[in-house]
Amino acid sequence: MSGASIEAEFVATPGVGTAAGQGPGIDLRLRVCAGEVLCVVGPNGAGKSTLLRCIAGLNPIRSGWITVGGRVVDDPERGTWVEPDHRSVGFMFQDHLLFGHMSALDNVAFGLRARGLGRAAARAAAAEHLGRMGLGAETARRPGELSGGQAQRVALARALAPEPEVLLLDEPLAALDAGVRKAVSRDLRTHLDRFGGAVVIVSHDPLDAFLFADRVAVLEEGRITQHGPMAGITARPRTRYVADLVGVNLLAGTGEGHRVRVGTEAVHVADPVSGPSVVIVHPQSIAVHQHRPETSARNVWPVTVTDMSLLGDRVRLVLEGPIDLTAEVTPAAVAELGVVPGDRLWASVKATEVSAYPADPPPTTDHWCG
Amino acid sequence: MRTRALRDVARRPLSTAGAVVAVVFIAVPLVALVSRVQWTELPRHLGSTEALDAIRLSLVTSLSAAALSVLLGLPLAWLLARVSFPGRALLRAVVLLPMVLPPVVGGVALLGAFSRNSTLGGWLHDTFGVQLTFSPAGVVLAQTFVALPFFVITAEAALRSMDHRLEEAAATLGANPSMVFRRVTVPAVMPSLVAGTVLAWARALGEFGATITFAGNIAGRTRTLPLAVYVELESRPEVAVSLSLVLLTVSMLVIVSLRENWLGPR
Repeated sequence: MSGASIEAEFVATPGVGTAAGQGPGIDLRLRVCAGEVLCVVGPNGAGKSTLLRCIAGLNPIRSGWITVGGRVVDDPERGTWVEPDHRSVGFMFQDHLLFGHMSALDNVAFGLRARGLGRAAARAAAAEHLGRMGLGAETARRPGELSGGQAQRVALARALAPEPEVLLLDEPLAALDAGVRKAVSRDLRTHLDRFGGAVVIVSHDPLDAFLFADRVAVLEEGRITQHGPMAGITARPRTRYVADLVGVNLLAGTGEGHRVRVGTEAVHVADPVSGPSVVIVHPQSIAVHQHRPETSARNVWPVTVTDMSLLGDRVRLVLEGPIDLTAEVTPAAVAELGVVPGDRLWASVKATEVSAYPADPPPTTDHWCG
Repeated sequence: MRTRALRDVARRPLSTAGAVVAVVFIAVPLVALVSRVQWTELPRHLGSTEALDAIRLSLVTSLSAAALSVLLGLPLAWLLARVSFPGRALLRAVVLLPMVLPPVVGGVALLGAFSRNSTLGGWLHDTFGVQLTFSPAGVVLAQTFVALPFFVITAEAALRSMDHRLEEAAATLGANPSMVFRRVTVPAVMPSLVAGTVLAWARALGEFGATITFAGNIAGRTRTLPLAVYVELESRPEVAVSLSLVLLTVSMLVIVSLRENWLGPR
């Protein structure tokens, strides 16, 4: 397989004439090297699918440019536009989109026929691809007769069969139930390792990023808000979306040494910062009290419990006050205090348990392909 | 469920009465037609030269009209369903007009366009020696004029509602627009294309007004089944009834065949 990279820097408006309807506008820059897997995560409606559709040529971009394997495929300013059937971009759709009137074999053979292969040769190659997916016995079946996992494997075989230079996967596991998901993700992993070109996976589930990705880009409202290896992203969340994924409280404020001003409040933090800063408070580091505590903790606020739920062996309390927080405390503590929603309590956090770091400008995804 | 249905009916006597009247209104004439059929004479009626000529002519012309409707209607349906251009709504209205236009008016319009006295008809006659009026080709033209919209409206609805992303998937696999259309689009809407073809064929088979106006009523040349029924009604009403039975049977078959993919749940 001829491996190719993807480079792009563009602005795109919501898709016109797509069945999915109106997506969000996007404005981003990214580079994915040959053999590299980039996972784009983000909330629903962030523009993830629009990004893939632009690379595949299903949506035109408004300005900027996209290259696949060094070849410009879309550049409205220079009037360059390559039709999707001439792009050599493999696309696996979320709900597999197999052709319902064709057998699994003919679905996989379709792309090979489109490349000019004869019927017999295309079918033989398709059978080989399906065999490699462990679907040798299913070749004659129609998509409607396949299980969800089988259909997704056929879709992957169909996307890979014409030997595209790059591969785009839109929510590859979202349509599968939990049991099948594990097996399919293992197969996907194997095939992605073998694939030589750039791969972009779009997912609303950050777990997919852990499973497949070399690098992760967080896309929110059409813009990349965080970027890098997954471990780096979860270690230093920069947006509320990522903070929620990781399960920590994120407060944005202005650093003044060991204090960060958040709204009208001052939060005492472990490391000195200045300028626009992000404060991270772990839910388990928050203690709750009936009365204003006599404690060495520097951060003490009056709060109201607005919601509570059981989370594993902890109770999660949603607290409203001068600073909104989510706390996770032991069931014993809840029982001792007799907490019910609506209660007024005091929350305290030690400064040494509050981390803070500068809120960097939005990251670029530029790096050199080695 | 049964008692529920009975209760619904009993509590709405006026609606129920209206529905019963409607059913009787449609069923009584049909029953009357069938009851007047002279079953023992049927083979002789349908075996006569005139009847056989009419049946043969109707079959050939209506099938040609159906084929022409598909050939011309599919590109048109695609254009209306997929290409956004100014005046599309107007074009759709014009195309569908023959569905509601009195057929005799369609016949007059066709005369205006294709008779030997008209510019186009005169040119066709002088250049190619083709005369459409009073010829079987004229019958096909008249039938296509009224049948085409039935195919277009069915095909357009299907093309509009099918999942476009299937075509996008085909494009990302390297298929050019022609291959996408032949191997993905057409198969995906095939049930509706079949339904539209059957509808157009049935309409062409029953065509009367435009045919008699434009193509005339020449035995063996332009006298199709409906025209033969009309002619026989004057002289031999029992033959007219037998011929009508043929058309009724065909119509029943059309309804049964369309029930699955056009008329929705039973």
